[in-house]
Parts: sequence; C-alpha cells; structure tokens
Amino acid sequence: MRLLLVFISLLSTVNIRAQCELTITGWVTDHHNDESLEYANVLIRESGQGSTSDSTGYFEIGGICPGEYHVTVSHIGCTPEEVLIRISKDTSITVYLEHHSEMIHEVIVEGKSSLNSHTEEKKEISEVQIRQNTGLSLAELSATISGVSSLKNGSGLAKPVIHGLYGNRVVVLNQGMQQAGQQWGNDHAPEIDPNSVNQISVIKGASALRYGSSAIGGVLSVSSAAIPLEPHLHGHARYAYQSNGRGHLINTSIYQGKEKWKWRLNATYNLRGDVSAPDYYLTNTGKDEKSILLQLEHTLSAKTTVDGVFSYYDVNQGILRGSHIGNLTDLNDAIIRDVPFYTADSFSYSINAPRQKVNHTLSKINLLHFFNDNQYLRINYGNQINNRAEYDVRRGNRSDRPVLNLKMIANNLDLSYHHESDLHKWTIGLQNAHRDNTNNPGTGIIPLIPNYRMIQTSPYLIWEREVADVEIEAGIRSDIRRLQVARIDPVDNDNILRSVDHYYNYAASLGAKYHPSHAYDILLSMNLAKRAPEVNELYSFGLHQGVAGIEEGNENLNSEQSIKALITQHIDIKDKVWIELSSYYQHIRDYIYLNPQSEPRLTIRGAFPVFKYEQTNARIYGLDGSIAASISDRWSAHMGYAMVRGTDLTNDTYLVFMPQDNVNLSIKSYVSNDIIKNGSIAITPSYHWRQNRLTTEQDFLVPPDGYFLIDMSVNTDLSIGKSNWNASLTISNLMNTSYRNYLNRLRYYADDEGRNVRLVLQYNF
Amino acid sequence: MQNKFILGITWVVLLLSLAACSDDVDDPEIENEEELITSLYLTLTDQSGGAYAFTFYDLDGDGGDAPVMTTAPLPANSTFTASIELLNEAEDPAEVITEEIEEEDDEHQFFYIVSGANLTVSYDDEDDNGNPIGIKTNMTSGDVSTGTLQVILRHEPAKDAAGVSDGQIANAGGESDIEVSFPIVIQ
Repeated sequence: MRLLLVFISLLSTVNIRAQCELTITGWVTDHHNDESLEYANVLIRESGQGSTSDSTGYFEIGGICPGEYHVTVSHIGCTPEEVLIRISKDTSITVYLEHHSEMIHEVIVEGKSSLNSHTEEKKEISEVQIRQNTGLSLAELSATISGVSSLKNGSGLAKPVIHGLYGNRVVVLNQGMQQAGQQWGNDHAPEIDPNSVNQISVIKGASALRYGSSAIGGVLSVSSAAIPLEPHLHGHARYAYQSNGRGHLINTSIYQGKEKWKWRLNATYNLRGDVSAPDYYLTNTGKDEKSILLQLEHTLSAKTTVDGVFSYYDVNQGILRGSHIGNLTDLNDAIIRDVPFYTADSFSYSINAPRQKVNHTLSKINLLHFFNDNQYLRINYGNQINNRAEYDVRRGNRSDRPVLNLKMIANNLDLSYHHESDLHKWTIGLQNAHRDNTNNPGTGIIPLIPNYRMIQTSPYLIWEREVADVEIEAGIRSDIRRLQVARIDPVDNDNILRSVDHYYNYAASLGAKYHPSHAYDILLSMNLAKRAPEVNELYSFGLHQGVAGIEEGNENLNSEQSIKALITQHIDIKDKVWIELSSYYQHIRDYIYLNPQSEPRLTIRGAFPVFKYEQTNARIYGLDGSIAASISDRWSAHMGYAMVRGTDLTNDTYLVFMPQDNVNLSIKSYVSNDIIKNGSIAITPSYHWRQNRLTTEQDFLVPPDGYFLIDMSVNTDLSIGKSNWNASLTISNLMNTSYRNYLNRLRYYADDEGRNVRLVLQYNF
Repeated sequence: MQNKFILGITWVVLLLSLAACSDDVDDPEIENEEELITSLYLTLTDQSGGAYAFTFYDLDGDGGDAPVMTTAPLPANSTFTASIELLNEAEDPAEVITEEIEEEDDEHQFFYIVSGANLTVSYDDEDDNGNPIGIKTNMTSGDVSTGTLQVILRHEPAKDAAGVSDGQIANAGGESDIEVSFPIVIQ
C-alpha cells in the first residue's frame, strides 16, 4: 500500500537570491490526526544537509544551491517519505507522514482505489514487508496475513490457503490475469518471484465477480505498481543471505518515469542449498531460482495510456530425497523413522531427482482510455506460457527424463467499461480465457492429467454506490466454459478417449460497508458462486507419488455451489488501539474432494490405497482477529489469532487439510538516531495448536502435536553520508525447536526447518 | 477522433473474442512404458531338478483386470536354488527387466521375508561392492508348515545400513518396485 500521503505546497517568495543561499522550510504532520511531529529527520539526499523538526513540527534548512533535490523525511514509527523538489527560490513544504503505518497496515483494510472494490476484505503486504522477508516464497509471504496459511511440500514449495481453501479454489492473479499454471497439484507452488513485484494482496471475502468463479476460497493478487513520475534513474540493489540452506539472493530494480515513457526493470537470482531441521539436513531441498521483469508505461495522450509487462520466471527445486517412496509399506517405514532415509551427513547445493523444473513467461499489454472524467475503457491482453517438468528417481538412468512434462499456453482478453456518476459507478466487462494444456511426449509414463483445451467467456456487471457513510456493491457474472479433453484410456492404453464438456455457471455478490466514523467500520459481504470441476478432478488417473495413493478422477462431477458470508469490523480506539475482527461462514454444495476407498488396489508394487474424486456438502466457518496497540512512542504490540473449522455434512466427518488454530503476539520497540532511522526490534512468539479435528481413517498418520515458536526481527534504515540503506535481520525459529506442521506434506518424513537467520541489505539510489 | 479509434479497437476485440478458435485438442501420444513391470517369475529348483514356480502377473498394468498369482506347494526338509525374473510382457517381445537390474545391481536389492512357514532364504549373488542383489538365492525348507513369502525389490536401498546385506529390510529405505506376498505351503 502506498497511499498518496505527501502533499507539497510550494509557497513562492518574490526575490530570487544568489547561489547557495536558498532555504527550505516546512512542517511535518501526522497524516491521521494532523498533529505536529517533533524530532522528524529531514535530509537532502544530494547534499547531505539536514535538520530536525521542532515541537511545532517546523524545520528549516539553509544554504542550499538552486537545483533538484530528493528530500527524505523520517520519524520514529513512521514510513519515511521522499519528495522531489526543484528549488530556484526559498521554498516551503508540508509533509504528511503515516504514523505507526505498520500497525495501521496490519489492522486497517485497504484504502480506496478506483479499480478495486471498496466492499471486499483485502489485505496487502507492503513493499517493506516484501523486502524484510526476502527469501520467502510467495505463499509463505502471504501466510504472514492472519487467516492465510500455506500448504507446503517442504521448503519453498508452498501454495496459499485462504480461509481453509486452496488449489483450484484459490485464484492467483499475476499482473491482473489468472496465473496459468498447474494449480491442481498440492505440491505445485505459484510460479512467481515475490521480489519482482511490489504489490501483493490477499482478498478473503472473494467477490468472485472480477476474478472468476473459481475464487470461492479467495484471491492472491500479485502485480507491479504504477511507476512514479521521477525523471531520474532510481532503484535499489539488494542482497539477502539465509543461514539455513546457505542461501544467497540478489535482486535489483531500476526505474525511471518521464512524462511520456516510464519503465522499470527488476531481476532476481536466488540460490539455496539443502535446508536443515534442527537435528539433520533435509537432503535435496535446494533451489535455484531466477526471474526478470520489465514494466513499461506510455502516455499516448491526456486520455489514453498503454502499459505492458513482460516477465520470465525459472526454478529448479529439489524435493526431500527421503520423501520419494514406492508404496504404502515404504511410507510406513518412513513414518516410523526419526531421521529420513537418504539423509546426508553434509550440506550440499546439488539438486537431484526428485525435483521440479518450472518456467513461466508472462506478457501483457493493457490499454486505458478515458472518454471523459466519468467514463473509461480498459482492454487487457495477456499471454502466458508455463512449462513444468517433474523428475523422479527412476531405474535405468531415466532420472533425467521427466515423469510429468506439461506445457500450458494461456491467452486472456479482458474488456471493461466503467461509468461513474456522483452516486453510482457501473462496470460492465467481458473476460475471455483460452487455455491449452499439452503433455510433452517421452516421459514413459501414462500422463496423470490429459491434454485439454479450455475456453471460457465471462460477462459481468458491477454496480457501486456510495451514500454518506454507506458503500454498497452488487454484481452478477456468468461463466460459460467449454472443456475439450483427449486422454489415454486408463483401461485400454492403446485407445484415446475424447470428450467435450460444457459448463454454464453464474456468480452473484452483494457487499456493504458502513463507516459511521473514523473510529468504526463494518463490512458485510455475501457471495454466491458456482465453480466448474477442473480437469484433474474430472480425469486424473494414476499413482500420486509422495502420498503413495492412486488418484482417480470422476467425469460425472457437477459444479460446486458455494455461498459465503463474511463480516469484518474495524475499531480504532483513540488512535492508540486498533482492532480487526473478521468472521465468515461458507456452505459448499457438491464440494469436490478425494475420498479414500475402502478396497486398496493390488499391484505388483504392493497394495495402494485408492482415492476417488467425489462430492459432498461441506461447511466452513472461522474467525480471524487482530489487535494492535501503540503503547508509547517507543513501544507497540500486536496480536493475531485465526481459527477455521471444516465439516463434511453428508458423511458427518471433518474436512481434511484445514489449517490448525494459531495465535501470535509481537512486541516491538522503535529506535531512531542520526544514523539509525526508523529502527525497530520485534520479538514474535507464536503457538500453533494440534489439528484435532481429523479421524484416524482420514490420514496415514495422526496430526503432529502443537508447537511454540519464537521469531525475532531487527529492521532499520541507515543514512551513511549521502547514501540510503535498509538493513534487516530476521531470525525464525529462534529456539531451534523441532516440530512438524500439519499443513506440510513432508511431515510424514521429517521435522520442519530449524533456526534460520536471514540478513537483508538494500542500497537505494 | 481518438474516442472513435478506441471504440473501433473495442469492436475488433469483441469480435475476436466471440470468434475464439475451436480447433481440436491434440491427442496425447501413447507412452511406451519401458519401466513397467508386469510379471514376476520366481522359480525354485530342488536337488533332483524338480521345479516349483511362483508367479504374479498383471498384464494390463495398474487397474483394469486384477493381477493373477500362482503358487506351488514345496516339499519339506529340502534345499532349493531359486532365481527370479521380472518381465514387461506389455511389450512384444517381452522386455526382460531383470537385465536392467543386473546392469544397476548396486542400486537394487531383493528382500525375501518369510513369516509362519519353515523356510530360510540366503543370497547367492553379489554386486561389485560385495553386497547381495537377490536375483539368485538358496532356500531351505523345514518341517510341514504354512505361511507367506514376501518378495520386495527396492531401488536405491542403503545396502551398507545395518542388517541390510543379511536380508533385513528395516534399515534399507529406497522405493519398492516390487512387493508381492505369496502364500507358502510346506508339505
């Protein structure tokens, strides 16, 4: 989030003085209550001249030569602001700082933006948080938000879980388009580098209208923010080290924003070796990751702008060697061991089978045209190419031949027209998606997922109205989908089966936000959506390594029908305490899930349990809450809690893979002096309860015990001479506790990661 | 003027999206499952040349028709030489998987786990490191009894782990490529 907080008023004086005798004066003010901020540091980056604000918030810097300067204003507990000013005469500026921005960020819902709905529950991860958590994967980063978890397959392979739902039910939006990857796999992470972007948000009360009806769980959106108007070349260079896995990451971003053309280039290289549990190495869990992103914006006229993004992401990711098993006996052998099979005595950067090699290319072009102040049109075209190759340990030197080799090409064409009047705002849109999935031949294995082509057309209409302190949004959407499939007959492997399915689904939503005062608001939303079954649910057939189970699709599945109600309240007590409370209830008719069958299948490799996709009625409800308090200028505290309950109503049992309840508390102290700007130190203990809501028939192993972890972080901005740096040191699992997480699929084999010290150093220019 | 141009683009885009191409999806290529093991033949030969065959085959792979198992009763208090052969009979002619295992003998080991019956199994072959493979074994039957003989083939077991070279599977690890349990009758 980057609200436009800086308001500059240039007060001119009549006489232009001689060289280097100019003065900048100004006031520093709290954005929220307009109070003066004393002891704010004001620094002219180019000359190193600086000053501190007095008790009225006033500051003065004299002896300045005419020219263009970047002025940085920082204050304890505030997000620093930088303004560019051109000085040819004595100048006065007013700078509004967002005080305790982190706390507000943690508890206050996203501000308004003309392109996003006001009435949805949306949480952002700031650029600062992305920087401080450099090294985490996208899903791990999103799991820092209360109510979001990650379903992991070891280190770095994680997918987001929003309000208990994941996979096909969570839409990952990459630069505004649905990420076209193999989202069905529980061990498939979104193919996105979080360091390449600067806007990451999670929308929990998913208004399915803008994102498609698959978003019945929620939306994780990743995009590049608009490039600021800044004629000079700016950017950062970042280096991050992590002790666990001896990871090195470099990232750089440069941008320039002129009137007509703006551009930003971002590149990341990340290399990490085997991570370790407290007592042993997790052999073959290294990762080699690269990404590059180019963003362009062009102003064609006062009314028309065009922008484009090109990005390329590539990862080679190892999977714990000891988790590669042949059958159920092997799984049981692995479960009873303390230390996994194949655990090496020494650290290594090498990545061998089993591993995944994935790359993703995204190109998009977006046109925005204003007919007048109240009407505009948006046309967006995007193309994505996703290649996924998975390698297993195989006989006869075949380990370099992938067992799964998929190529997906997706095209999206979206059109929307927006009309605003004083009271109403209308959006009418049409989204077209075309997706083509092909198995590259030569794997020597019958594909788990068939070749398919999916075409979907989705018209939608959204109406918004703001009256006094009530905002209302309502909308409808229709998804017309054609799914064409060609697959190898699972019974007669020489035969090809072809089929075409059509799905006509709809979604509707109604949301309202009432904000009678600065101190309180309440948001209510109701969403109705039908999700068409995905191709893996319909047609997957084969052995799923890792869980030693045979998965069988069911071509007779119907669309799921979900209704979700969400209430979120925000309370601000005298700008000292902020409370957010969110509760939700969701009912899903014909919920698609993998049901373990009573008869195992006998094969020459032993007996395997069989899981079939079936449908039931499900209910999910839960609660996320957080409370933040500003204890003094130097201390703050934050507490978060989340719980979710899932019930299979038809069979009167639990839903599997529901996140365990968790609570965390963070105590933070702020430090600031001449060199350390905006420094803070935080200690965050957290407790994750055992997942007790599971019967013994639902899993091979009882869920692991609850665990208590302590994390610590130290963050600061540094001004050394004229240069501007950020540094952070984060220690996760400070006590080096051995634990296993229910949502980490490697819990059958190994403990979770031990202590990890991460150092991030960034130079800004 | 510009507005008209933009509207023109919009119409083109709309028409394009309605005329979305619908040519057929490519058929997947039928994979040659070279690694598939369809059949296991375990043959015991007693000192007088009598042969006892234990077989397990599933010619259409996982699913489809159920696998077929045949066994033979063994005479009591006898010694046998035994050898195992694995085939992929989905190919024509059948591919001999045992040859692949012989080539990678240090990465494979058969385990023979007897329960109930009076039967002992010892290895009669070794890889370049002097560790057993288990393609060839010697078996000795005792008094009249019944039980099971489980045959397991592990890929990349820890052959140097405790007990593994003596045929104990507990510390072996690796992936099971074969796991078949034969009923044993010693009469």
